[in-house]
Order: sequence, then C-alpha cells, then structure tokens
Amino acid sequence: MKTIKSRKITTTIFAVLVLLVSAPSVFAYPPDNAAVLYYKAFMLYEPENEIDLWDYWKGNIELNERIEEHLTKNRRVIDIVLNATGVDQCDWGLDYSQGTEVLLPPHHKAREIFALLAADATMQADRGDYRKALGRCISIYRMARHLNERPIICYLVGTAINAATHKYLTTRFLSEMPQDTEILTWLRDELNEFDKQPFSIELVLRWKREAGIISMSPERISDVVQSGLDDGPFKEKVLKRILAADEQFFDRNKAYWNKYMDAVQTAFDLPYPQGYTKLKKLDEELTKEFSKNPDATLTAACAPPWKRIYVQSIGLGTRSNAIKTAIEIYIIKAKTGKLPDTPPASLPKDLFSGEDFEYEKTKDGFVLRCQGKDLNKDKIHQYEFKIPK
Amino acid sequence: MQSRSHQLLEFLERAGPSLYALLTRLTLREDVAEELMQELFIKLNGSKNLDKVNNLTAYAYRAAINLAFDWRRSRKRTPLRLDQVHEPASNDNSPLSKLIQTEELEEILNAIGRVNGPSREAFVMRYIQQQSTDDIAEQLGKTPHQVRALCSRALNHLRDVLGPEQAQSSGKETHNVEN
Amino acid sequence: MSKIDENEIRRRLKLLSQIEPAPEAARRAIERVRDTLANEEKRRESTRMWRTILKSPITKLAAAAVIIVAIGLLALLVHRRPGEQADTTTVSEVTKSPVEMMTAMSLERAFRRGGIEAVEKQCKQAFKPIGPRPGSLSVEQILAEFNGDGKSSERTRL
Repeated sequence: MKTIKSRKITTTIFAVLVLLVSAPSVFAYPPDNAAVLYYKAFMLYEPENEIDLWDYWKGNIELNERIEEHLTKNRRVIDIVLNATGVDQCDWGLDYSQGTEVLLPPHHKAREIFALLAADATMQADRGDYRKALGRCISIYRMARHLNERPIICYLVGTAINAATHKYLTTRFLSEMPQDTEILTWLRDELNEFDKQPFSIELVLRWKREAGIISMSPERISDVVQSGLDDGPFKEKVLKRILAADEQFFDRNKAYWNKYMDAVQTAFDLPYPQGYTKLKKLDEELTKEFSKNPDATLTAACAPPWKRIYVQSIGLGTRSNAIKTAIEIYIIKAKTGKLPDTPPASLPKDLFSGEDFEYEKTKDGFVLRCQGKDLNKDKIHQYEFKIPK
Repeated sequence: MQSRSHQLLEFLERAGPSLYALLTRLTLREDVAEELMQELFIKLNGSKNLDKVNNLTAYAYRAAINLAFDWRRSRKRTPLRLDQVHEPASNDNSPLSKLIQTEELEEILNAIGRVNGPSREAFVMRYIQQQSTDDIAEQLGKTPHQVRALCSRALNHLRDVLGPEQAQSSGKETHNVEN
Repeated sequence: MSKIDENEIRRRLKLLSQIEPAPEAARRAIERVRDTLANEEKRRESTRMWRTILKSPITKLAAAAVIIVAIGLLALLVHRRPGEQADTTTVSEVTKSPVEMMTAMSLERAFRRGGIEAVEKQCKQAFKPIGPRPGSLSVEQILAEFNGDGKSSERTRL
C-alpha cells in the first residue's frame, strides 16, 4: 500500500516536472527559426500602391500622414520582422536535393518588407532618434544575411537589400546625426559582429557546383533547360543534344562543369582586376566552346552571369568597408571635435584595388575614394560623408 | 552556294561574338542586336557581290554599322522605359541613374548617326570597337593618315552637336567618379 | 569648346566600347544565325530540286495531282472542330505554373533578362491569387467550407 502511494507521488512529481520543463518550449516566442516569422510577415503584409515608401526612404519625398498611418497600421508586421532578425537560426525549408529546381521563398515579399523597415528607419531618423534608426539598419543587415541562402537569387536579393541600406540609410544617418561616441561605438561593434558570420558568396559558389551536378542527370536536365533558358535556337540546340545523349555525354558534361566551376571559384578568390578579367575570359571561352564541344553543352546552359555577380559582390564589400572606415573617422571627430588629417591605420580596404581608401576632407565632411577602377562601369567610386553643422 | 554557307558559318564562329557586341553597343538593346545580327547574315548570304568581296570581316562590320544606324534612324524617339534598361537592376545603382546614363549614351549615338558614311565607320571602329588606325586603314582601303582625318572629322562633328550649349541645356553634370 | 566637354565625349565613347552583351544572349543570337543559315541552305536545295522536277512534263502532271490531294486535306482540316485542331504550342509557351516560376533556375533566367526587378516581377506573378479574393473570411464561411457546402465553397475560394 505504501509502495503504491509512493509510486503515485513519484508519477505525479514526474508529470509536473515534464510539464514545467516543456512549458517554456511550448510557449516560447520568438521561435528558434527566424524563417517562420518571416513567412508570417510575408503573409500579413500588404503594401498599398498609392503610398510610395520607396520614394520616402530614398529621400525623394518628406514624411507625410499617409506614410505614418501605413507604418502604424503595420506595426505588428514590423515587430514580427524585428523579432525574426534577432533569431540566430534561419532555415527556409528549401529542398536542396532538387538541385537547381529547388523552390525558392517569395523574394518579392522580402523586398516589400525591406521597404517597410527602411521607411520605419527613416521615420525614426526624421524624429531624431538615430539610435533606433541605426538599430533598424542593423536589423535589415541581419535580415539580408538570413535571406542569403545557397541559391544565387537569394544572395542577389540580400545584396540588393544590403546595398540599398548602406547607400540610402546608414550613410545618410551617419551624415545627419550629431556625433555621439556611444552610438558610434555601438554601431561599430554591431557591424564587427557581422564579420564573424559575414554576408558572403562562398556558400553560393559551393552549392551552385553541387546543384549543377544534381541537375545534369538524364531525369532532370530537360526540366532544368525548359525552365532555365529562353526559347530560341540556343535552347533548341541544347535540347537536341540532350535527346541524342548517352551516359558518357552526362559524365563528360559533369567533368566539364567541375573544371569550369574550379576556374570560377579561383577567379572569385583573385584580386579584383585579375578576377574580373578571368571571369570575362571564361564567359567568352564558354560561348566559343559551346558551338564545337558537346561536353560544354550543359555548362553553357547552366552557367549564371558570374561576371555580373562578381562585380556586385565587390561593389557591396567595398561600400561596407567604406562605412566601417567612416565610422572610425566619425568616432575621432566625436572624441576630438575635429576630423583627423589622416585616417587611422589598419582600416578595411577598397576591394577594387586592395588598398586603403583615399581620404579627403571636404567643405561639408569627407570623402572616401577607391584607388582602383570599377572596370564594368569605367568609374572610380567615391563615398561622400557629411558632418552636420 | 554550299561554299557560301560554309564560308559564312566559319565567319560566324570567328566574328559572331564581336559583331553581336558591336550591334549591342550601337543599339543599346540586346534584343534588337539579335534581330539585326539575323538580318545582317541573311543579307550577306543573299548578297550577289559577296564573292567579289576581298575582306569579308571589313565588309560585314561596315554592313553591321549601317544596319544599326538605320535602325536608330527608323525608330520613333520614344521615352525610355525602365524595362529597356539592361543593366541588372540592383538598388546600388538606381533605375534613375541607369536611365540617365542610357540617355547619355543614346545622345552620343544619335550624334554619331548624323555623321556621313566613311567617317562614321572609321569613327565607330576606332572609338567604339577600339581598333588601331592601321587595322581600320586596311579594312577601309585607306591610309592610316586618312583614317585619322576621318576620325577627326567625326569628332569635330560631335563637338558641334554636343557642344557647350547642348551640355548646358541638358542640365546634367557628369563626373568620372560616383557621387 | 572646352577640354572638359571633349573629355565627356570620350568618356561616353569609352563607356560604349565597354558594353558587353550577356554571354547567354550572345550564344542565343549566334545559334539563331547558325540555324537560319542552315535552314536557308535547306530551303535553297529544296527549291533547286523542285525546279528540276517541275521541268519534266510527267512530273508536272504528278505535281498537279499532289496539289489536288493537298487541297482536299486542307479542306478537311479547315472543317475540324476547334478542339480537334493539332496542338502546335510548345511546352514553354504554355502558361507556367507558380511552381515552375519559383524554381532557382527559372528565377536565374529572369535575373539574366532584367536583374532583380525581373525576379521580383516573376515572384509576384507566381503568387498572384487566382480569381477574386474576399476581403475577409467569417468563421461560418470557414465551417461551411469544411462541411462541403458548395455555395459557400464558391464564395470563399482563395
């Protein structure tokens, strides 16, 4: 009798313990996968055509009542996204076993959500709360990093969001806000945190190689070509060669693809001028090879515009480095009351040249100028930062 | 005729990418360049005088340049739409700035279009195709000195057309660095 | 004319000289010309063959017979009902499903054509709701949907 009673007590205690342990996980918010929250925000957010948030955060129009109302109406959506950006893990649930036929998340919604956050950041800055405004920028950078999954398109959407944030938000806020050492140091530390897990193309390059190999199989390749190429003789020729293909055709094409991807990865690791020239040459060679070498068929069909992607990645990296350099200069200004004559040593480089940025004080502030040319645009980029009067 | 097709196919392998790039530069539209490339080779294939041509490359380049400027002349001047701007649209390079850049290039191409025959060909080969004056001289059957004179004449014409008044009236300032 | 203006002209010319078409577009254009040249050759050969044949009086009679038969076949085809007409649309001309539009490869194609804006446009198209969408959905409507009420089902289809 005593034993039965004690067993009951033990079971009850055990059940209570199980409930206590599991309760926090049942009600845990936010969840440990940011993608759940992003998907939720994507579903809830409906942009209004007549309200041009894009013009507002780009600084073309002033804040008006309608924009303010729209932001208030969507405050819950903004909060959901801000919660998502605070979560480390982000698994979009993509089925990578499908190769290049993997289904991607709705990126147009990510861009709409970005516009919402960008407008909110701009509104915070307009109200004078630069800490909050820059906090939104950090959240957007985190969102971009979450979006950067293995497929190229995910990387490009993240790149576009990062680039817009650098250019229209962070640079602008730094140029408008009064120099505050605390905010600037906090911003520098936050940005340095990103270096531990940087926004990078490495994963994209690795996966593109694997995805290409998965897709270059007799069962999948026709679908890949049908969805990936525009109608026309090039596509017809690819399909004709596939129809006539034997097993060796696929083996030889895979070998060609691996060799091609080796060359692409090497080019991405080279300093900019050499990398650019190598990728340009690879493009030209592939065009020539396609007509005379059937082994190049599937590579020609699957190869993305690497040169274009490379230029965007270098441009983004350079602008990120310019912002980090500018923050150091602003910190000196905040501490000493004047701009330094030369920037501090060991700052991030201009990726177009691999050298330090050229620093020049101007009437309104300072300019950071690249030392290497953007070969695609035949331009030397320069980034202007202002000091509020 | 069999040899004509083979000759053109071989020529396509050799000069196709470069001809297509030239047409793209002169039209600023990949789709139009594709159409003109078709037209060019159909014309070459059907040309009765092709067998008498000494330098097929030079002949084809001249024909391509003429086709591209004929197209420019024939089309109605309609305002550019965003979907006609062909650079990848990232936010780093706003649609507006791309539009301005494309307008600038359209402006200079239209001015080149108003230059007369041999001068225009020499000028395009020199400044847009970046060929040496010696090469151009060989292709056009002229001396390098004559080629330089033709290019200079074309450049003078551009100066007249796109002179200071023109630049001021457009109200655009351009620098060699990004602002 | 000042030096700056000439520099500007030269800068624009340099920009023009550096324009490179997308490799895939170049491949497509060259393939198209190659096909055209090959077809043109076939067409010419066939024209030459027919000219030779039609010069003979016997083949002239045979050709007339073939033409009559062809006209008969054409008449039959014209009188087919629309549903019976041969399907000449290619696979890619058929409207793509949202799933086809949202694959990595398909979106890469959009990017090659028109950058991120084209990707956005394709995504929007893939997620465009089919048919009218109600502004709100009541609990009764949802329950009716689950109970298989045909009328409600029609109203609440998303």
